[in-house]
Amino acid sequence: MSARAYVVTGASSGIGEAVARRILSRGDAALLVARSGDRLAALASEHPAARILACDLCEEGAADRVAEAAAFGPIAGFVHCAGFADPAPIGMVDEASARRLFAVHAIFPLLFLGWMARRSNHADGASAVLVSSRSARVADVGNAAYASAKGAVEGLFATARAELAPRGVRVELFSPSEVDTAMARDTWMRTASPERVAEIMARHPDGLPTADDAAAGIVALLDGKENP
Amino acid sequence: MREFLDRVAEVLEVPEIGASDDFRSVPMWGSLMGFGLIVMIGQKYGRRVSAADIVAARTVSDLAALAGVVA
Repeated sequence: MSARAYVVTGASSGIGEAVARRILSRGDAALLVARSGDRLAALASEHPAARILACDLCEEGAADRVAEAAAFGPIAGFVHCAGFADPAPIGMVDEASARRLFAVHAIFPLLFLGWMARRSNHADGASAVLVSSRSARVADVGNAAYASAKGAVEGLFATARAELAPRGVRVELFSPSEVDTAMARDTWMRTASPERVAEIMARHPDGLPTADDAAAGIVALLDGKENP
Repeated sequence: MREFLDRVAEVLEVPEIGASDDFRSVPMWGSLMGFGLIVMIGQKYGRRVSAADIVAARTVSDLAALAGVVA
């Protein structure tokens, strides 16, 4: 089978990087997108089939920039892992931060899926995986802005799946609970009380899933019946 | 320090608080206020304080030290 072309956002670290490594390691091509160009360049130096784009997906016009860079061939798959969390009690949520959260988690994939839906922009059997979070549906202190943005992702998923299926793009949702990433270490692992952290860890008797564990789940969703 | 004390008082929902006060003695103290202190110090002073740091702190001065505010 010839190499297929993928777009992976958030590819410089965490789950996105692990997804990018899995796709590139099996010989497929990928456009890797993240804010940090340096980290993307390091990853691309290991994989000749990697293209990179340093882009802040919170900014207006980001979806157009990524679409332009992704026009190297019909896209077989899109994985949207870019994102961040900025926990705060509701009364202390920073407006600029909340707007950036919605922009990166929900508005970017909404617009990029719109580009990918066009027949000339995706390959036969194309798929897209959006990343949500258990926190969109389960209450936890401090998650108001992040959970709202992930809730928006879930709304997007439902509609995009219905609209894009007839166009030949299968849209999937990956919604993990806690994963051991740099983001987790800088958010709930740092800010939650030791008792709360212990409660969360007790839900993972085998230890927290790693970024690569999550990536394995995402790639399985991405592939569907392809690459069984 | 004055500004820091005002910000701590705002998070703790009290009219004012002193540097040597035990911040847990405020009427509405609870874990959400401890979380609020972590967030305030991150937003206003750029320091990534942990819940364990707050657990170890006793006075408002201890919080100031975590925020890098000199007395």
